[in-house]
Amino acid sequence: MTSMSKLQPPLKVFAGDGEDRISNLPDSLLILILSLLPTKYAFRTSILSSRWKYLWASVPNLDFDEWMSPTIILDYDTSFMSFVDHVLHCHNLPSINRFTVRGYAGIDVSRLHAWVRVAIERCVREIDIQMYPDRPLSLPWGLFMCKTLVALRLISELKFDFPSVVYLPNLKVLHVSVHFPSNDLTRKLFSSCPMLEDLRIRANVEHEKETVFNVNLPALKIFKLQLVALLDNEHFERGITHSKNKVVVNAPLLEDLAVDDDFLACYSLKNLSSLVSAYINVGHCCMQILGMKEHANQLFTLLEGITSVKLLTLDEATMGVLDFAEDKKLPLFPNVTCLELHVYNGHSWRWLPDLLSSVPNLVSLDPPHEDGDLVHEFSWTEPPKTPTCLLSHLETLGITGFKGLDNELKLLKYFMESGKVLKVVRIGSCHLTEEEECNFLKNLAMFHTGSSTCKTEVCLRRSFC
Amino acid sequence: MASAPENEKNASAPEKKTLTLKSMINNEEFVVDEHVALQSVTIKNMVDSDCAGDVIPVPTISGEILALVIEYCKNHANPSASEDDLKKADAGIVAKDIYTLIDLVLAANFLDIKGLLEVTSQKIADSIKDLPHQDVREIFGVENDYTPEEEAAVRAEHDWAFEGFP
Repeated sequence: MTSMSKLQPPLKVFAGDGEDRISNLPDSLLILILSLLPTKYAFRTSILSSRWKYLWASVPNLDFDEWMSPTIILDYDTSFMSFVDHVLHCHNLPSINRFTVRGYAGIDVSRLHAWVRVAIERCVREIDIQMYPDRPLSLPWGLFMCKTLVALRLISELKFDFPSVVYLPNLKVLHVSVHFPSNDLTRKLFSSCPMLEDLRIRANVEHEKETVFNVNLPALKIFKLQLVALLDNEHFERGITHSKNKVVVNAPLLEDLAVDDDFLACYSLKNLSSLVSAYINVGHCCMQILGMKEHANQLFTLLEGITSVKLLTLDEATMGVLDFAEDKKLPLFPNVTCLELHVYNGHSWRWLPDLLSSVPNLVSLDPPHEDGDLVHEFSWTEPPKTPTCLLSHLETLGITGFKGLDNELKLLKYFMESGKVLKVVRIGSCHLTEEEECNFLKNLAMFHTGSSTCKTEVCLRRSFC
Repeated sequence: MASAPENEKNASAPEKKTLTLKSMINNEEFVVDEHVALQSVTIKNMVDSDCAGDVIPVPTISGEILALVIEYCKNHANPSASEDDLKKADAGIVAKDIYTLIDLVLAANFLDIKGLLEVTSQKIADSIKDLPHQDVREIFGVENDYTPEEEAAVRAEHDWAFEGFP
């Protein structure tokens, strides 16, 4: 039972008298403030007075950032390592909330292991490790059985030096970078974290070897996959064959999906009914492949897995692959309200009418053109029947990278005439000369608009030509 | 929550309930919607246990600071505010001199408003990060009880941490 009379003020604090009021800041608040500083800065307060000498040692977060130094001194790594050793020796809390190390590659791995072991002993909840330059990093095996661990973020590449049993029952966040992962590794790692909510993987992959990413996680909300091709000239001379990689995802709670895949793996996406946003950029390195058509059709399998999505971005590689694909019917995306498309380097807009037809409830469309050296093959043809979204839903249209080409004008005219409920059309460009700009604005003024409430916003900057 | 007399009142239009917070330092009063004030766990506990009278006296917090606290609570009680809006508003609230921030962190701590405590502490941490230790001593009212030798020894213990330190 709380009553006003029992609510004792923590301190006698009055504005105006500089000294005493603040010396009374309770340790809990001072420690809170210190815990928000990188450990180096928190540690420096030991110089203030004897009361402060070990105050920093009670902070729950330890953040060691070797990159933060203004100069590189002699025996740099050594003094940094002794500092971390010293801090861990003095740190007097039974648990560590977050343990962060950002360092140069000169750090002794055995000492890093010793630090991580101390963190594990102190029931660490979050570990962030990043080394520069990047190098494969092994971690003590105990970490893979750490029951208190909630988040593990390894910006550095992880070595496949894993114990035979991995079990991280409370891990919710895993960010990891792996070099040519074995199927064993991905299976072991992902299946041992039943609570995982946020998984981000960057993996170097080969196209000739089959690597399977099997992500079967009932609690997963965010999944970001980046598959990077490491290709040399020899590869290009021999020619790249189809990617044999497979990505299998079953995640009923997944809300945010991002796939950035240099090749185009074979995707099997199941149970993605909670999906809110999807970013898809696939096939950047396989445009040259002979028989592209057959390969490009794999994209449809990927798209069919994400039909529940609300916000969809198809980036340049995807639009390029789509350009190669057979004329096949796109799946229907009944929930998409926002679509962002990027078209780059000569790939065409030939899929735009089909895309529009497959998003009947689209409210906002952002199809930016990108700068490219090649001539833009526009290939836009008016669909025979106006897509539903233009008649009843599309309110916002944004076009950037506008070059003022006849084709672009045609496309713009089509949207402005057919968009019956358009509210805002935003056009951005930095490609037009003064004369072109003048002509463009004249043309624009002559367009008939299908919606009486449509506002046009034009942002033209010539200075960035 | 629902006692008999209240039921009678609520039968008509849902009236917005307000609370009056009074700074005991300069007797300034603030009338605040209840749901705004309830972001303070301390006030919520008082209201829940029926200890709050018509006017809730707030000891140790000046009217100036209480106004900032209320501004924060109003922003965060607005359901239509986006995360971005809130971030901007928070940045505006903590764009103050260090002594005001220290009063504010104490107020946030006393009134138990987690978000305000975090954002104010972070701002204090950022502000003192690069200051020479003499300035930090002044801000926190620390009396240096080290001898010059002891101070030098603390500093020498770990060069790495003090490198580039003014």
